[in-house]
Amino acid sequence: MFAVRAENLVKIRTIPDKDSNPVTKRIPDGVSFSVEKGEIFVIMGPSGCGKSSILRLLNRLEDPDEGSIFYNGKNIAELPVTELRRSIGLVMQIPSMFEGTVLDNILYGPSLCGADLKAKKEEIETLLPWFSFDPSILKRDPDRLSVGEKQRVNILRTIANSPDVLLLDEPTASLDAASAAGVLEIIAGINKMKNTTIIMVTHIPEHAEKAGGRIMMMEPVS
Amino acid sequence: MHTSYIKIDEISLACSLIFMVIAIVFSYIEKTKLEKELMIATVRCFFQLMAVGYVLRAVFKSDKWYFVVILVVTMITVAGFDAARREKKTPGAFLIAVVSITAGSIIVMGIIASLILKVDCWYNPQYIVPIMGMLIGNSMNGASILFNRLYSEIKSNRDKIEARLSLGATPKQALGESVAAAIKAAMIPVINNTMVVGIVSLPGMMTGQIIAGADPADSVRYQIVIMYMLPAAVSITTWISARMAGNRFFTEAMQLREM
Repeated sequence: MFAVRAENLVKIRTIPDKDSNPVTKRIPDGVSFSVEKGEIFVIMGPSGCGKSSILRLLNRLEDPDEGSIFYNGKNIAELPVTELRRSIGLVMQIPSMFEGTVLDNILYGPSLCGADLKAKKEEIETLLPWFSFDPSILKRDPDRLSVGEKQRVNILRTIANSPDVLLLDEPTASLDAASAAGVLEIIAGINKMKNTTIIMVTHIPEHAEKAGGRIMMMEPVS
Repeated sequence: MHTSYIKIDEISLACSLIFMVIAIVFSYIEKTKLEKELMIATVRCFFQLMAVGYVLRAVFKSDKWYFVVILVVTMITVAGFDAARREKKTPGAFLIAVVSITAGSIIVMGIIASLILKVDCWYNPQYIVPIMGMLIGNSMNGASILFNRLYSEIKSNRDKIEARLSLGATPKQALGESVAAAIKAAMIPVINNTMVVGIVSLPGMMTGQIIAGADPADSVRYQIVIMYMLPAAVSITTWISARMAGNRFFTEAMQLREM
């Protein structure tokens, strides 16, 4: 059984054209793919082809106008939304930090479902060296972190929910080469250590190759 | 202590037009082009207040509970319409405003009537009408500010709200910060009024009672009750408005709608 299977996904959007007139487009337009449990799957393509939209559909931040998505064989439209979002975790391209400390941010997801926060904090502390953080990071104000640090906190915050599937939207797009390499190593590590299924979107061919998984190319939208 | 007050006859009332003329002249000199609005406001104010004066006199004379209820329902409906008119981007704002203003004003009025004034007759218009007027007016302003601020908070914090949803938050949990900011904005005017009352401003009810010949010490007691009741009514109204309005921005699948 596939961890994730998408069939003929279509999202109809109204976007401005080059003269700022609204036009209706199908983004994505009929995309299908299957991802096995524990696999790294990379979606590549030019800007505006619907890569990020696919991740939003998988996390159910939006629903497709056509097509279906299956998680462990079940249509995601029939699963409880909050549980689905914890199981198929999304790391957004631009990290939005919440009020409070870095620790408050990381424990946000677990706190929503009544998890043992003390045990969760201990688990997070064991992951910190792997993310090139020392324990003092947990008390810091997330708004004062660098972009690279915010992105790593963003990933930590999502994996604190222990998702089966991790969706990453351009996680290296705004990072320098060294930080990007670090994030790609972390992603590979999560996949190896926890057997988490990874679905990553990128427009950088080098990063798609470094991620070390199967690559799906998307065509530009006409 | 004088127990009578100077009545304003028709000629004296007409003399008060001089104040609006002053405002119109200043508008003309400064080219602010507010002359038309000021004239409309002058006419509307006159007819609205004259009409309400006669309506109140009739309600007071009739001593029938249903006239008081009709009056209060009309006030709440108009307040709901006005709060919704000022903010058109919140779906279902009229209904939300009516429900929340009703809850805020009725709960607080009930406490005042039963615990503080201990009125013999629950519909006594002498107390119900002016106090409900103040409660409804302030609740309406609170609801209006809340709608406006909540919409702009959600629009400007869309990424943050979706980040919370993506981690498994419900709409109520995801809107926590936005709701708090909107309620705070709606509460600030009434808190500021409570802070400066007696120093910067002498409120209308107290001034009215003093002019009508009441002992200022008694008027102050009424005014203290009024100043304490308003934050409570606005709190209840904005809390209900925020919960009801917040949900309207999400789909059944807990997705933030396009704005």
